[in-house]
Amino acid sequence: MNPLEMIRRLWGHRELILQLIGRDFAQSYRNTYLGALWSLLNPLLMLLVYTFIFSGILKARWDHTDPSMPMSSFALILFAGLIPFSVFSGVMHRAPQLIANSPNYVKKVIFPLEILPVVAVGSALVDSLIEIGILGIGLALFLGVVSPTVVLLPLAYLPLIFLCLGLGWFLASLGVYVRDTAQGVQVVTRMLFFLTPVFYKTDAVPEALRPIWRLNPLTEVVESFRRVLIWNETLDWERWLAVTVVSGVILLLGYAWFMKTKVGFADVI
Amino acid sequence: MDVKGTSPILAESRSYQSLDGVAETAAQHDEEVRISVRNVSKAYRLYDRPQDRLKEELFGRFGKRYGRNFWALRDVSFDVRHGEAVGIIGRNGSGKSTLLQIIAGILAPTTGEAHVQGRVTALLELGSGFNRQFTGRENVYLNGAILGFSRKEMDALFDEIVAFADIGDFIDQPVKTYSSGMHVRLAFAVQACVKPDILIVDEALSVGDIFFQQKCHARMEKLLTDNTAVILVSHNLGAVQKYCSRAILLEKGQPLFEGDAAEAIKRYSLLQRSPGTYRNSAQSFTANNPATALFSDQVASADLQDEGEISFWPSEHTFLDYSSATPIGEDWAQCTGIALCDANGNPCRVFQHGQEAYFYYEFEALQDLLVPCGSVVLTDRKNIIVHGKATYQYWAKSFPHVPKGARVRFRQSIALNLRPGQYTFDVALDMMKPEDYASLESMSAREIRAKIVKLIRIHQAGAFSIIPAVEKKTAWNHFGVCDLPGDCEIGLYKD
Repeated sequence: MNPLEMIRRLWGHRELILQLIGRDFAQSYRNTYLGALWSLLNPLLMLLVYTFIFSGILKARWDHTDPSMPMSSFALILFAGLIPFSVFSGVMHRAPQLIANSPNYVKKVIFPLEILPVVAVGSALVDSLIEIGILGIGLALFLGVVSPTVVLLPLAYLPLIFLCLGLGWFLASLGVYVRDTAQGVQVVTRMLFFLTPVFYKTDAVPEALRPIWRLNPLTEVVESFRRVLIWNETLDWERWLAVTVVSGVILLLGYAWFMKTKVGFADVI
Repeated sequence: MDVKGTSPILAESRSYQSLDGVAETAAQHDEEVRISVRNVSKAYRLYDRPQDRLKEELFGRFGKRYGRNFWALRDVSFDVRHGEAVGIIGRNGSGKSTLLQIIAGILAPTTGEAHVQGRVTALLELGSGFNRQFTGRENVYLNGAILGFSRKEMDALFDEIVAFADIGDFIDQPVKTYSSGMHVRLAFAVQACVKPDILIVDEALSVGDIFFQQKCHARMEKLLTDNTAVILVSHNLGAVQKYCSRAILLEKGQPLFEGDAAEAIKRYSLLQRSPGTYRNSAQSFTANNPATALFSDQVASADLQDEGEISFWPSEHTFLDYSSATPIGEDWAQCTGIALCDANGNPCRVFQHGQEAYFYYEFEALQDLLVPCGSVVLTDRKNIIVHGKATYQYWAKSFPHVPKGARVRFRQSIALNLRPGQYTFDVALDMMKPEDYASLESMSAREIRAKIVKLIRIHQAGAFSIIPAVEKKTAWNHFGVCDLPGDCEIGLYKD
């Protein structure tokens, strides 16, 4: 399994990938009244609700030693962690049905199916960039300053992209053969939502259990996003490297799995 | 302008190797070969229940099998060269579409290898590459991107595609508003105008009207001169004969014949109704008996004679198996043989426009019968009776009386001046009284109809096709169903 081969193939289809991402976007909002406004409204509304419930009603505190942190800060911290997680969950939800729902692309047209998960990840990334923009505005408004460590953001994205692509390929293929995959993924992502430190910091987890949390690559991803966007800290390089390598391996394995099982799609669909 | 896509993937040759690792090296000795298919077979596993499929996944390695194989293709091999058009013909379910999907790289063969060289475009099903929500324009660019063309390259081809498709302003309307004809016009335009190295066309073309089909075929001819290889799957045998130099005949997944297109078509037509179990009649006969007391002794007319034979009766193996046709009315007579032949007495199912078809049919009388009258009725695929003629309408000599147990044979020839296409025929036996038969000339049509006693009819006894006459330049030399004889002249007058 040659990583260069994979990059070459995908690069060769870049035009198609970009077109499809563009269409994805246009298609979600075509014929709706609010149009592209939804891509802003969705995250904002959810953010408002989460902040209100967790901070206002449940009185959750980000840092027990600093109970005076305003709700707006809590909201921004929450948002920073939510952005990468929603990229992940969005891709996971779409992946199992990507191939299964496009029988035409499998059986009737000569089509490079491996780009479909890439398109899904690409769309999710575009959404996340819009959300980053909103976050930036929020930071400027409430905290008055945007951390210069923001330049490290692309590095923070890297393991996330690898992870989503690798799992995306794997699940897209699995979803063709085992239709239950879509259901299973829903359950798992819902669980992960609470098991990833989005609403709380990793240190809030009891020391004994922390290693389990660390096994989840998303933990490090979410932490990285928060570090560079909110806390104005650089990445935890050791941890970051470990997660990037692991997700890189997942990427290659996922791709290899997809290409191997691709030949059988037309038989099953 | 020579446009080639920038995609490195599509421009290179691609080969599919079978899943169980039986890979043969592609026979690429010949530089001209664009498509090389070697021993390709395709089996689908069928399971009675979905659970069985999973069980076999899990326990299959221990040798337990829960499903059965359905062989859609069995050991197909052939080559297609530059600038060659090959047809694939066969009945429904013979594996044509499966073979196309394997060549296109959409399906993997179970054994064997299919190797293609160059860019492949395929029209496999109507509008399958189209996203219905988007406009025709957007879909053209999308399809171009799928084929590996950049936006700029598609810009260069766009006008040509739109001109070919000829759908006017609808190009900017969502595809879901298109009629199926517009769909296929646009789909074909995209696949054909991008100058593929290999063009595959499945029966999707049949949706188009005659003008469109001619346009498509003209474009395919142009592609052939540009050294594109074309594979055409069609039930339109006339088109296959005209445009393809070679053809492959598939039946139930097996290649029955591969070679000259006309020969393949001939063999295909013999499949339509296989001779099957042949009738064991075929002795010469006498259809007479001395008139019994039941019948009038009067044998007044020159049209009736006591006995006679017909000039020619085809040999046993040419007879049709019409056991699946429905006989109507069986008490008085039964049909004991039907054959459809050409002028030489050879079984024939594909006739050229204008060629004479010879119908031979035989009935055995189960009761004593009066004057036997046979008839053949030809029906086109729209169920219109295009021509029917009974033997009394030829003023043929018949017999006053058919005793029980005797056989009557009919030979009827019809010149098929009909529109090329597919037809079925019925065969029937009626009877009428000798005195009516003698005075047919003086009866009106209604009276004749009243005097006829219908005995038995074999509905859709067989089928045949008419293809355009080989020496004619065009497939289209008359409008409508019938080609009536006639002539014309044109004059020009200048002041």
